[in-house]
Amino acid sequence: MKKNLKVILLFLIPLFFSCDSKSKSDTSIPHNPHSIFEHLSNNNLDRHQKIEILNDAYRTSSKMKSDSLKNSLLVEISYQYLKYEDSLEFLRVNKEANELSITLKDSSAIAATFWDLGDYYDAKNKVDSAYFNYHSAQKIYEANRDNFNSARLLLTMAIIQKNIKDYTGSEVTTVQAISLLKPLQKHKQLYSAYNNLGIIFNELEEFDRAIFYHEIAWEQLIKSESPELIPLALNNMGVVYSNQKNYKDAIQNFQQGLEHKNLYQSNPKLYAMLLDNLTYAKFKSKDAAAELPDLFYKALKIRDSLQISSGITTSKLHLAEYFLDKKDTLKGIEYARQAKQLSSQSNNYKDFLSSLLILLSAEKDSALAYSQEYIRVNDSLQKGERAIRNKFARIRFETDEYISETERLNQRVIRISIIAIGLILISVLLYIIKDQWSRNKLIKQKKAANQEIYNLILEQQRNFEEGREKEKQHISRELHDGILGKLLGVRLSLDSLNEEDTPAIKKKRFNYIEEIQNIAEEIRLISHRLNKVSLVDVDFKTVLEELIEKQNRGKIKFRLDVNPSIKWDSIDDDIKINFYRIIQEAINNIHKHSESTEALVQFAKIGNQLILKISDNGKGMGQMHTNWGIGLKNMKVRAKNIGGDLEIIQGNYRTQGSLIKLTVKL
Amino acid sequence: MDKIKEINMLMVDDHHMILEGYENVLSRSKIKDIQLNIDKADKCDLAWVKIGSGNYHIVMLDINFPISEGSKFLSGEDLGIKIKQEYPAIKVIVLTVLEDSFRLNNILDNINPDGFLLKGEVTAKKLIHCIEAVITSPPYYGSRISKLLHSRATHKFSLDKTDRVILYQLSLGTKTKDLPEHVNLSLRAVEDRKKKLKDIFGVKNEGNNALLEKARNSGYI
Repeated sequence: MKKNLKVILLFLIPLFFSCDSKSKSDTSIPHNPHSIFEHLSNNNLDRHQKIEILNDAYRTSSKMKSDSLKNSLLVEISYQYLKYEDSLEFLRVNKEANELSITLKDSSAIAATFWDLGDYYDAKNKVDSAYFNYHSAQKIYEANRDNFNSARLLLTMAIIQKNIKDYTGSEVTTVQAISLLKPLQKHKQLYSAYNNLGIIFNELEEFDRAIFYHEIAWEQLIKSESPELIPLALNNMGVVYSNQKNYKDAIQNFQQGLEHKNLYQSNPKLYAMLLDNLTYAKFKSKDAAAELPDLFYKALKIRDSLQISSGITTSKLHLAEYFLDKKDTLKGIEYARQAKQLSSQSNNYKDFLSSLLILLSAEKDSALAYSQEYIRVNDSLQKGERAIRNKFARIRFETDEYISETERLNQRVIRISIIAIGLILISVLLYIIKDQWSRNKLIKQKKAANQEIYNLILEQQRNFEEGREKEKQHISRELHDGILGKLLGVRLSLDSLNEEDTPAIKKKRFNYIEEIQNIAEEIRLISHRLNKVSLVDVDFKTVLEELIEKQNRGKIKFRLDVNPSIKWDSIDDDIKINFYRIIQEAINNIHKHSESTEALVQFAKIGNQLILKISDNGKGMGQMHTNWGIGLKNMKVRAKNIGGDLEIIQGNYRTQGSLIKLTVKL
Repeated sequence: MDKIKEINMLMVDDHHMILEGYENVLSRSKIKDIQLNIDKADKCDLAWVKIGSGNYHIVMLDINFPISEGSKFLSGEDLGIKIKQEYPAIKVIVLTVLEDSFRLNNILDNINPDGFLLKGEVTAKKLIHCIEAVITSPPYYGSRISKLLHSRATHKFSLDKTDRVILYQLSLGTKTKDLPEHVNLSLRAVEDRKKKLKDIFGVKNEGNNALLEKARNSGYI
């Protein structure tokens, strides 16, 4: 996890600072965080210097925007503070990182901060706080299905549980961790888990099972290729054998551990432990060849030099046992007392109790006092452990409750989200439907306008057709009856005048020849009319002409004046039909209310603007009454429909009448 | 010395030029033993008034007149019918520009004129000849009318007025199923008549067009 974080961080930081250095190239940032973590890995610096670097990095981070970049930097800084044991700064930065992570809802960062805090409390030996934080982190990983980190934390928690002698709890937790780790093939962690089980059963004095688990642990260890862990594994196994009084196998394990390459240099603590355990096993197996008690001293000396209090007390207890066995009661009691004092100081209750047990049997006269103290300490110890175990149980329970609460909240959030998405979808759908509807409406409107114009023109065409038909009949009749009749008359007359040749008759004949000329002229006129009839072409203008023509049956004289440059075919039907209806409306109003004698409908085109003017010489719209109002409203609505501008001008310059002006952009 | 017969004649036509033509022809032509007294009228109503007051032997009648409001005569045909009803002694000569067989047939049926000429075929000689014939041995028909009468004779026993209406309506484009409106017969009866017509014209298994073609050739339409 921490490795992952760091990888992300190293990846992100150059990006961030490359942008930043562009914008702030002059205002030098004290330290580039990227280099900070490189500096920290430099072993030449002492702890104080490293903490200074971290302080700088923290100051830099405080200038950053509160985003995930800053958050990952904070998480890393807090981890580094923990690593270099600056409690105050760690707690501060850890808290800040935790809060920011929560704000950013970065669950893995939240878990990381809990984990760090758990490590901090673990180091401080505040097991309940440590357990609480580990547990919190573990639950987040579990929710995130991060099985590996979840298992690592379970393992850490299992070890804490084991340390407070909650063996059953620890076993359960360990098994949980194993079930997660097995599919992941994480051998090193599996080793730790089985090792923990081995230790648990050793403590429960079920040595066969302990050995069984240690052997599985050993297999995992071999697979994990972590040679540095081999001596410890050997030691743990040796301890079980030792407790089983199988000193032969115990000695073999301890010796093998000690023979591990460079162990003394790399891990003197473990070396001392192995040496002490080996010596003790040899002492117990009555090995005459062993250099006793020099080997005990040797182990003690190493532990002394490292100031490992628990190790020192163990060594001294072993020495006390050795000397008492050798009947050197004085020395034995002396070591036991030293062990008692030291373990008491370091709160090492286990060794304290062991030292009491030794003293109990060695100093017969103080036995009662020792046994009383033993019982008191043992009781309080058990009480304390029980209290912590209860606390752990409570932590688990509360976290579970917290999680079910979170789940409930999450479910509510999901429910609300689904409802919100549903609502959004519905509104989007409604919008689409409405849009489609209005688009359809527009299309329908256009179609209707088209149809209306078409109908008008069709009607007009029908009228014309009828007129043409009538005219044709009329012409035909005129030709048939009129011309033929006249020709017949002339023919008959000339026929009868043919015989004679008097001057009077000649003159008469001349008259008939002239008459033929008249008939020819008549034929010419009819032919011309026939031509006109067949040439009629109906368009919007003819429709307008017809409309105006119809108005002239009344008293008011209407005139139409259309600019011939207007190309009616290229004008939208919607515009034409609305113009037509507006003219109809205006004409109606003129008929009903204007009391005028003349009216003029004019069409003009200026640029891309079509202008309609309807004027009359009536009484104007001064005393407008309601009927007028409705007519005007209709006209205004129609004008608006085609994006036109309708003006009503009172008393135009020529007359006292009214003027309606409609302007539409084409 | 033969006795000169005096004949009073009324010419009815809306065209003055025609009346003038008739007058020119008749005033210059001598018909044996006949003295023609010519009178003119350019409207049916005026003609009817004159006929009522005068003593005419012959009325020369045009069919088409401009429609005048309030007149009881829609055409010369009406006037002709009226004359034949009221004054059967007056001889009627119809002179018309009409060429439509249906109308001509109707005029023959309704007026049964003593002389019948189409204006198109009229010449000065023919006109004189016609009047002469009407006075001495009516009737006199022009060649067109004679042909029409001939075809009537051919189909005399088969074609009545209803048949002619059916043919006429068909020629106007009226559909068979709409014919009952015009002839006051059931559709079934109309179809029977149509079948009979096809039989008569020898187009038994052909369509309406063949029937109309034949009827047109025979001068029925």
